[in-house]
Amino acid sequence: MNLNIQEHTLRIVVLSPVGAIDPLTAPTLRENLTRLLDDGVTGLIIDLSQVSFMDSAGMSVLVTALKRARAAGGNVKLVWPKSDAAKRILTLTKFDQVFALTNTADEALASWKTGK
Amino acid sequence: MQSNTEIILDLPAHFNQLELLRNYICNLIQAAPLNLDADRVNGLVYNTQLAFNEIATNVIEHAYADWPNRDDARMNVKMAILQPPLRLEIELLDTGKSFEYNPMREPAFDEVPDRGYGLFLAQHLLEKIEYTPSPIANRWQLVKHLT
Repeated sequence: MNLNIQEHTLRIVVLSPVGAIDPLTAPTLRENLTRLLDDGVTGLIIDLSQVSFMDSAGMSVLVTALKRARAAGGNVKLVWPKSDAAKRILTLTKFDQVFALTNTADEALASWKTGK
Repeated sequence: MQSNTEIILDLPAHFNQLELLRNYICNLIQAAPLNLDADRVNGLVYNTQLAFNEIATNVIEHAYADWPNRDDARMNVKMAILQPPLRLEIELLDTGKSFEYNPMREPAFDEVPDRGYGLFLAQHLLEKIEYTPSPIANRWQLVKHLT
């Protein structure tokens, strides 16, 4: 008998920043994402539900990570921030059309498993 | 034109001042005589903080980019609640390099840009942005209606 076994492990990392993402704090998020992408992680969930404020410095970090992940065959999914004002900014900048957005990190994980 | 509340600040032009400035904006708006529900007030606070944050970031990042001694780089900020109409006016002065402000600038959304959202957001979220470059002090004047 010949038995070929293949095991596929999908590595997904969830990052949950807490507080404000601005030019002072965005470099920390960027460094962590860069490290993960350099390590070969291409499945990333960034949970924005505990982010109280995010400006264009944070948006730049998210887009850079998305482009790197997709170039490597992966993706970056976002969890919506809690505040309506922050949600409207993601819509205004069309992030809702570029990123897959979910209400929770669990939903994002589940959508990965089902390929949605 | 009547000023109910006014705050004048002289601060280092450094990113570590942004949170403080956002807090002042929040306090001023929440102290204004608003007749709005909490969600609307929160939205006004967030949008004004974000718009001002983008302009101040622009000053710190670009106006003072080649400044010889960063410790000497300063921002003068004046915030005032005025009426009528009820509004927050912010004046930001810097003595750095003048900036070529293009009010029509918009990100190329189709290309999913990783930069260029800042001024676009400020334009969308404020009623007025006026920039006056000067060798003495560049002046940003921002107006947000609180209605």
